[in-house]
Amino acid sequence: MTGLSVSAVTIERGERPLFAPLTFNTDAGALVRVTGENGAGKTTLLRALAGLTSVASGSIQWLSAPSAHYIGAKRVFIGHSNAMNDSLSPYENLAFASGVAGKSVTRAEVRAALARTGVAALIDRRVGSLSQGQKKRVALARLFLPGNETAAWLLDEPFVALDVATQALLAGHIEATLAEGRIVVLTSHQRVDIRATNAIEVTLSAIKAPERLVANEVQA
Amino acid sequence: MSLRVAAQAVFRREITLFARRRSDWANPLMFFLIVTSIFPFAVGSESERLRLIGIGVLFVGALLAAMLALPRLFDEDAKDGSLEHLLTSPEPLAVLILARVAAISLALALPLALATPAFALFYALPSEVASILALTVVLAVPTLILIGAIASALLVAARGGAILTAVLVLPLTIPTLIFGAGAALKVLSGESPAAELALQAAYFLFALALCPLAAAAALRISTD
Repeated sequence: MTGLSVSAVTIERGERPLFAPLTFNTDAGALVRVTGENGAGKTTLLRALAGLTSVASGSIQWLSAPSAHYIGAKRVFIGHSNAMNDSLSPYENLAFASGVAGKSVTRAEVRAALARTGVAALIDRRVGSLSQGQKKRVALARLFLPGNETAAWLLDEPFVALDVATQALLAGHIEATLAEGRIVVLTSHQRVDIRATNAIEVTLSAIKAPERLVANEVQA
Repeated sequence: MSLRVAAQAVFRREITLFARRRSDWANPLMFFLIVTSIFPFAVGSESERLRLIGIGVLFVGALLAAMLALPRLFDEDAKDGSLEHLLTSPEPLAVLILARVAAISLALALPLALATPAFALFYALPSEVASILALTVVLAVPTLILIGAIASALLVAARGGAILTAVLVLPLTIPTLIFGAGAALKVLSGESPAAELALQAAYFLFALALCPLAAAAALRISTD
């Protein structure tokens, strides 16, 4: 069974801890909403969960394997940037994303994934010519590529740039994936309704720099 | 099996990008043409003198032209976020980097090596010297890209990274410069270039063995 256990995790940026030690546990099929003001470290926490950033102390455990630099338990991370090259088509970008993870996909499979977010018609357009919302939808189509029988979705602000109908569509996909037993961790400033039987909210509070330090910086 | 899929995916993407954005390989080629064609105006047209400096100018020109492609390694991907695909891949990062280096080397070394004999005409170099020069360029470009991979990995997304990369990379390419130009000089004086070519190849193999591992480690550190 999948599970996520975060115990006493702190992450530092430039020698400064971002948030107070963080601890939470979830089982399969759980929705984790990460909230906090700007700069509280939401994106950094997601990157750490994806294995892109190392923690300063504490541990992140997926299943029972420690989070190494590699992805231990499978998970898809969709960050703020869409991680796509503007000169390539959605098909080429998604085929690369899947291939580099070790799974080759056919054109039909990519088209099916794009259809899930309603952008199958854009399969051969250059990504650079798409709108922000369309790019986001193409990026989110990665969630539906075969081979992503993943334990977890890590979504950083997935609803940004999406229209209301697509937000609802994505929320529906998230509900369905939760029901299949995946863990979904997401950050979002928008309150999009997601019905989940097992949902927790993790609030990060930024650690303020000591006054003296701030004063020094202003002087310098 | 999945390792081969991953390496192929990286290689194919780079080749597709080179095919789509011709400036990526045409700009280094233009730079190479400009450098090699303006030197004769500066040093005069005596063919004896041109022949002596020609080998050096052609070789350095090709190396500097290849340096123009170093931002292609990681900087561009760091900006649009695609680097995350490489970093989160379950396959060894060093192999993925090697696949990318191979694609970029191929797309650069081929046009530069093909152009070398043509540009050698500016310097009245005999055709056997020109062809050995083309061969040494084929060896030197991948060596440069391999060494460049470490530097660009360290400096990925750093401000002023491009010039710092050049400062870090160029000194390390001096061995390949000495052996490569040395081989062509040997042919010019009618001797066998075998020793210089063997040493240049050895330096390339040395870079091939070490650089992908070092670049992978550097990339992990700089993107952490």
